Amino acid sequence: MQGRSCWGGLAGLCDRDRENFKFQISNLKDTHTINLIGEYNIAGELWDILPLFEKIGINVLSKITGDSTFKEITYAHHARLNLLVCGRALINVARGMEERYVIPFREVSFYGIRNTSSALRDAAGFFEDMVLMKRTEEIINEEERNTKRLLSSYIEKLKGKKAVVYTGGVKSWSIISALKDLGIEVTACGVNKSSLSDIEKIKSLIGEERILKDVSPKNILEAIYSTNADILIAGGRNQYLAYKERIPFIDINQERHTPYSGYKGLVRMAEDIVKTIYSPVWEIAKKNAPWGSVKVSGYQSVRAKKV
Amino acid sequence: MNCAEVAEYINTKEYQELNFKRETLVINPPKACQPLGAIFCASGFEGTLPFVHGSQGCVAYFRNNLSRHFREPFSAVSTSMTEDAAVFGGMNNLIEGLQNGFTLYKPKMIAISTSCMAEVIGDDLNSFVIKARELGTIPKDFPIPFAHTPSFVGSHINGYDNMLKAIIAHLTQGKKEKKNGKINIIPGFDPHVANIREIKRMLNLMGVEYIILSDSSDVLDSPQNGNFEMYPGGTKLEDTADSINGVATIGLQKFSTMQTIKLIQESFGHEGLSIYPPLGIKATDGFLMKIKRLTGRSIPEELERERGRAVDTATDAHQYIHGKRFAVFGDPDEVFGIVNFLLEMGGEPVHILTATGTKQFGDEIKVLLDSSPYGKQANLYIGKDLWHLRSLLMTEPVDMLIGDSHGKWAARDAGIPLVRIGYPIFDRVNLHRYPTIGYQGVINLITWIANTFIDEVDRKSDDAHFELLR
Repeated sequence: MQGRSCWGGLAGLCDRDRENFKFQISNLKDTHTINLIGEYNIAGELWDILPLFEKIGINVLSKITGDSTFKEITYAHHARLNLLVCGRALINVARGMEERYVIPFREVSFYGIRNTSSALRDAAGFFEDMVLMKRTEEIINEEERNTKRLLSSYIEKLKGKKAVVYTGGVKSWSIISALKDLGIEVTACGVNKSSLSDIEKIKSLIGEERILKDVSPKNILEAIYSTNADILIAGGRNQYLAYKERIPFIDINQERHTPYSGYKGLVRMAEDIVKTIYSPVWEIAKKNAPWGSVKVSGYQSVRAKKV
Repeated sequence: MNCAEVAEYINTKEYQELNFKRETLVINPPKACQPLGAIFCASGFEGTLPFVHGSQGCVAYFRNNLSRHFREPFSAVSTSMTEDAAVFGGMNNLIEGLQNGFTLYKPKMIAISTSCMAEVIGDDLNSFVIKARELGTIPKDFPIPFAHTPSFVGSHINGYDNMLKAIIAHLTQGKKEKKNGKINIIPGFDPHVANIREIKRMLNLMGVEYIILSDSSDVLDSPQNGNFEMYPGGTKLEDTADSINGVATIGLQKFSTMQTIKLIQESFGHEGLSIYPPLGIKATDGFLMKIKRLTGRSIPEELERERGRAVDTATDAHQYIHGKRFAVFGDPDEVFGIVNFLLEMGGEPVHILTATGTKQFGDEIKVLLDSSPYGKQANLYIGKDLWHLRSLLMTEPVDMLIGDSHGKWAARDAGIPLVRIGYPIFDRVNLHRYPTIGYQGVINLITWIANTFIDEVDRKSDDAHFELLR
């Protein structure tokens, strides 16, 4: 049975005595084999990534645990390299496999052009195979050219826009980088679910002063107003907070229903951001009723002070 | 060409060009004829018997049509003209018909319109009615407004207009007294009866006194109480007479009330204006502001809160409508209102088609389209039919069709959903019970359109992409 995602805990299965699991898989003899750890196939994201590996000729043995099977997890330890996608949740699986099976791991992300390309490059580079590396470069070139062409009209509209990001799980640094690919500057980033190494990366990308430790609604709004941000990119819990304050929004959390990873995903992300930022609904929402008495209350008073 | 080849060929650009060269053939026109609009208009007056001077079959068709849309009985009579009447004139039919209608159905008013047959032979309604009174067939003071409504000219919206003008002119004659402080509202040919209730509710909230001229809401949305009532409601005749003493008259549809508004401007001695339908937030704002200006009443907080809820609906659903491509067809007022609403939401009207629009309508909607970046790619087709529309949907696809039930074949062939707004809606229940105007209408339109798109996503998803959240 194919599924979108199993529980991360199932990854522990590969620690079991492997004799218990008989398997016969011919492609285990492949030399270019990897696992994807912490890729949960949210909204089908994995399915935009796998074809890329297939194209360049790297065999993804096990996905842990998006669209995975018990069986493929049982032979995960035959892979030569682990790509760790969600560092926060499954770093222990990657470390455990490194200790027990001597499989090195690389932390990667598939959000944005640059991240996706460098993930492919990292993986290909690992195998010390000039043909593989050359093919990878060719495919990266082709994909990037194609993506940039698809993105150009969106980037025109997004260049110089500012975003506040609070991903609540998804690697914020990789989203920041993806947004940068679209010409969007991140003016503040919530970090209360990021790992320490993630926070370091975020700092290096946007500077320490833009880090938001307190991610209460009030604080998020303050960050948006004080930096004149154009959009909030966060999880569903903050969606209607943003809408009530007439702030464009896209959902980046694990419940999102549009795949944003890989080259194709970035184009979707760009489209969704343009759709919300440029919706004419905000113009109407910002104007009170033509007869209206303007009442400033709630968070609007925060804004009134800041603006 | 065999069947399969023809089926393929009619989807091509080449075929579309031929299709648009058609001159003497109309295929599936999205319109009805004048008398249908006339009897719909007449039914909105208290105790009024809609009476068509013409052949029986026409009236059977009108009743059937209206009955199926509203899912209500619809009473109307005809003078049952046949070949002999066509040769010798229909006077006898009319006089006898008046007598029968008056005696059998005990109306307070008989409103006469005409079908093609009476118009082709040129029957003179005025002299026939005078004759009937002289003969004592009907009492001298019994109201019998009449309108010539030839089916081969204009459409149901003109029939509505002509009948309404006749009724108002007839009943207000000599009734000018001192001002009554009321606003007159003309809903126009509006198949969503809930719109009339919505207007009344908003005016009640503002404390405005009003007279609705042709109020079909209680007639075509009457309660189930175990009894068939022939005249379950409608605008009172004395209120209609009193409308001449109102402070102003507003037509909520511009193109289906032109003659009536003209009459009011010329003879009522008060401001008579027709507006585009209050569909969408800004248009509703505009309507309320006009009422405020005309009556001096303020707009209560309840309406402001309601407006806020409509805006909230718009923001909550903005991502489902923004950037989507639409085809819209129907009567000019409805089309104008829907297009205005779509532009407000960032929807892109691509094909706009009407069988009943005029050049004036075309000029005005062009200005509306030019005013918005979302109107730039719109193409306007006036006097075209649903077979033209089908070609357009096949060669230049859109995401959704908005119009009446007749659009379902074109939508099916194009593989897109149809959101049903307008007249007639035969294949869905209760839509006429939901307003499309006012802030409540904004909420309804967004709900229908956004949910239909989301339904499509669900319907087209494979198992792996079938999501809980949308």
